[in-house]
Amino acid sequence: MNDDDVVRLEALTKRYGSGRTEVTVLGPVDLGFERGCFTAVMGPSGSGKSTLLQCAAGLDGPSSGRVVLDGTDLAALSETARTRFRRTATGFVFQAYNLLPSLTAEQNVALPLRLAGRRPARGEVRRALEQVGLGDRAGSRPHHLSGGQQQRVAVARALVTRPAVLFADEPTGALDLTTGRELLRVLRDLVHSPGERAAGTVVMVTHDPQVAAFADRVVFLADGLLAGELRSPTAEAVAERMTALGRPAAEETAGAPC
Amino acid sequence: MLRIALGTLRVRWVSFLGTVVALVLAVAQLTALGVVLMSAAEPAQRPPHRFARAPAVVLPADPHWDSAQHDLGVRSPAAARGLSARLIRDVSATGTTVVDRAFYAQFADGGTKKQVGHPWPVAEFGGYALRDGRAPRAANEIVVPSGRARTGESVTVLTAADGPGRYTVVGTVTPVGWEDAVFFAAAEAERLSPRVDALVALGPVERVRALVPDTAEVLTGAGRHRADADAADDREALDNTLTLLPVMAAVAGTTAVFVVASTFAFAVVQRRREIALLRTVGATGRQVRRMVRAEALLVGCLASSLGGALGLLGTRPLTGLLIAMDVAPPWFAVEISARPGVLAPLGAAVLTGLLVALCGAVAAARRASRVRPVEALREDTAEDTAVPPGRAALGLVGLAGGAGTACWIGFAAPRTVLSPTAYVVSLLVPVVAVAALAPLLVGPVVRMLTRPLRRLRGPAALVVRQSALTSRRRTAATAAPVLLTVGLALSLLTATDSLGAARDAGFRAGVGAPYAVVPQDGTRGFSPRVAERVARVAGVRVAAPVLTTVYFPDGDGRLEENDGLAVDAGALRRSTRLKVVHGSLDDLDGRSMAVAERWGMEVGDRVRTRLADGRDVTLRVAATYAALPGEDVAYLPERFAGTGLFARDGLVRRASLSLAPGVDRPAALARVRAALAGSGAQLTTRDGLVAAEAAQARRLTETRQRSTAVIVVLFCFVAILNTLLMATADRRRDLTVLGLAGATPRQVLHFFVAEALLVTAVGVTLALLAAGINLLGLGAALHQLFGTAPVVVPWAAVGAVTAASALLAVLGTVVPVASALRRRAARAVGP
Repeated sequence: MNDDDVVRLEALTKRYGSGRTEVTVLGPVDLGFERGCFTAVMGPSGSGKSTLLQCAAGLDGPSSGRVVLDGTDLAALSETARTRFRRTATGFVFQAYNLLPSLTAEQNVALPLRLAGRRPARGEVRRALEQVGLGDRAGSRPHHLSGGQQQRVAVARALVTRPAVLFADEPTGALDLTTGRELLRVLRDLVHSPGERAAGTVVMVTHDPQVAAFADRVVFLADGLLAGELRSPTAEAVAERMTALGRPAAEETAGAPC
Repeated sequence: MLRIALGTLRVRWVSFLGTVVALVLAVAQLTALGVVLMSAAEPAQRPPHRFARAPAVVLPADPHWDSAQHDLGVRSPAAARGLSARLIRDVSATGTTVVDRAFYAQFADGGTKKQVGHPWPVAEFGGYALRDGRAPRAANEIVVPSGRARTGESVTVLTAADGPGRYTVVGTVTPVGWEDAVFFAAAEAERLSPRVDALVALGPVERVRALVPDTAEVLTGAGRHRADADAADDREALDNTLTLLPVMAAVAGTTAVFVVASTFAFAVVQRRREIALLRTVGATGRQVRRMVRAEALLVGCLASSLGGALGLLGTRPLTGLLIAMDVAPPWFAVEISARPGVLAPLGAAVLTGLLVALCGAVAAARRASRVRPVEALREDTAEDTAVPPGRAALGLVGLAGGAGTACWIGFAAPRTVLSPTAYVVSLLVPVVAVAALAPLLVGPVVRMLTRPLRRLRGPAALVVRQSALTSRRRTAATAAPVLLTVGLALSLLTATDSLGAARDAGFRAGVGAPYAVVPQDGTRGFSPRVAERVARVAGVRVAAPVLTTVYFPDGDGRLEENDGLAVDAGALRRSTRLKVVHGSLDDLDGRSMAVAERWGMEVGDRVRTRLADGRDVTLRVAATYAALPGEDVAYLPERFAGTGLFARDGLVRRASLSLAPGVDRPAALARVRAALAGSGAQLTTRDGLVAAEAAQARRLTETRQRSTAVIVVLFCFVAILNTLLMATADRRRDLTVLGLAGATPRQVLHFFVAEALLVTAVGVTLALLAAGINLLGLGAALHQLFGTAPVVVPWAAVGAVTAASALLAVLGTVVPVASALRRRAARAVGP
């Protein structure tokens, strides 16, 4: 963990239920996500990766521990204040059903700005759509868009407030291989392209080594606890590590920082 | 947020259509009922008939008498007595006057049920002119409308004073629509009916007015309609409408409000995922609430105004329905124009619709704003199964209130069941309370209902049961209209039937004689002379009470009227079984009376009594007896029978007849029948009498409650269909999942039908619970009022309503499922 972390999780735990039926699904976890880095969180089903992401994004409150997002301690905020903060500081993309079916692509993208009580500036929304390669589909409604296009609109919406971090939960989960790859390239470009929008931060949850290979860093999670990480991963390395996750003794971190 | 609200409307139209339909119909219903009610309350705008050609008519009047506060058919003391001879003399000094009398004069055969006698001289003011023949001069000469009889014919006319009498038709007039008159010579009319009902004054109106004291009034212009016999009929006919409509409006309004509120709430529940998504994107709880409110306002405005317009259009079918059910007179019509009588109920209905939509949505919006953003991420739209504490509290309070009301009615105030207005509304309480508690009750009820099905092999039982259990709110929302429909139908119809049965039993118990003499079909009564003739038959005992009115001072210097029956004391003792509380019928003599206990008089009291003919007498209370409301009369000495001619029509409504011991029964009855021949009366047995009375008494109350049930049930049917359409259209995903799991389209359809039936069963079970509370109270009340009185459930009608509910529920499911399956099939074979 270092000062450059845009998100810091400190002794984060999440439990469900109470008393005898209480189940700890996450933690304790100490973890940081660096600014300008594309991080993938990997783990088998039930490893707590989605819970980690939701807590990190402020969508869900932790049972104990702290989440510091862009210098703000989320636990210190009320529900409404947290919503307002989340609205501008984060963007979120789910596996599916990201868009309000009643609104056009453009209106969906403008939604966070409008919810913040702000009239979108000229071209602001268009630029976000162009960034994901959908500048020409602004007036389309979700059911006229393909699954990949819908996910890209969701990304554009997540970006429109220029958030400190973009969170994505299995963003390619409902897509085929080709469209999935297109979406991942869009996400990687947010972090690495030389354009004005570069140096963004993306945190993505996935269970697919192929998808994780697009990231700069892969953090592994098993049974709610950290299980090592990889820098500049290849699909093969990730797959190998995933297979090894069942065994005890996790290896040490390797590779260069991004 | 308005834009989102608008956009949402555009896309989620099925869900919104459901709420719109519910609201439109509710507001339409309220508007139509309100407008018709206001119109019925407005005075009828009908032209004068009987005195259309008279410049002015003098009528007896009582400034302290508001006829709206008295029973129909009861005359004020002034009107009973008629215009005094002195007044007639005074008015005659201003110019020519013509006396009018209206009295019972019925053809023994071939007449309509409402023939009325008048003196001939007044005929011309009603527009009558002789077609042929001449005016009646002798006592036995009459003029009748052509078609009733031909000139020269000899006919039998029944009158109160004479019974049957032979008259010769000496002329005919053109028939009119507003009465069926028999014109007598002036002197004969005076003999038959001593009361002067009205006086046509041809002298200068101002001078007439100046002369007339405040015991009479002078009518001119359109006001002359009030002197028409059918003016009273108008009121009588509308009186039914006026008592029925508020009950209908209350029941229909409550149902509509509940359905609309729950539909709006349900629509919000259906959009849980969208709301969660908005929350993820950064909408605060307040913003979500504002959005839902904006939607409700939009839908509310649109639907309420639409409903208002539809309601105005609906007044015509509604009046048609009321007329068809004989609750409103055939001439009753509602004129739609911009006047307060239309605008006020319209505005109230539209505003109610808007408010209800807002309230239903706001409650749901509060819940919606608590949706956590994470829920958008969940695959399944897992619904919360908990009932919000507010609703649970409200439901429990309602249930306690309903049970409390039922207990109160059952044990403390059993008479409430006799007053339709209050009772019908109280029936609503448990039903609505159970509906509010439905989400809480769904779990146990579903488990109970599906327990016997557990053994079944097929997957349907499991899938259906679990689906109903996991989406308790949906199950409750879809079961609620079924619950309302069946619960209200069961409560209303059972209350009506039980009350009718109890009344019949009470009436039967009160009839002491094995035979009765009753008027021939449809006529009002028969002459006391007929009863006398029967009484002369050897071995026959007759009690023939004449209906009259007595006026007692009420302590404030005013007179309070009560029905009286003038009857021979000995015959009364033999023929009726009054439940005497104090005193004894044996003490009745020519100067005493028996009164209802509830009037508060004591045995031995000497009561100053004004008789209908204007005489004041003092009568001693010889006995008090227990009477139900509406059945309380004063039993008066027979010598006051003549006052019946003033108070009413001087007729006997019903006479009891028994045979002396040892009399040859068939021979005596044959002699009775012979004596009754051509008299307008007939002999019947106790059973026949009870059946006829029951039919008569029931007709009105049953029509009232049945028509209320019809309107409510019709609305509920729409609600059932509506809610299930809404619920099923939202479940495409379940369809897909079932399909993926290997269910054939046929199986999918079966699942959904089974679920609809389960939902109906849940609704019916809850309805039985709610109606049970009502019926327990009813049973207790009837027991107190009538002794042993069983609760009679009209199973056939309730079964039909239940079957129709089930059918609609299945229809509301099958139609959207089948269309979705077809669409999927088309896509599968398509490119």
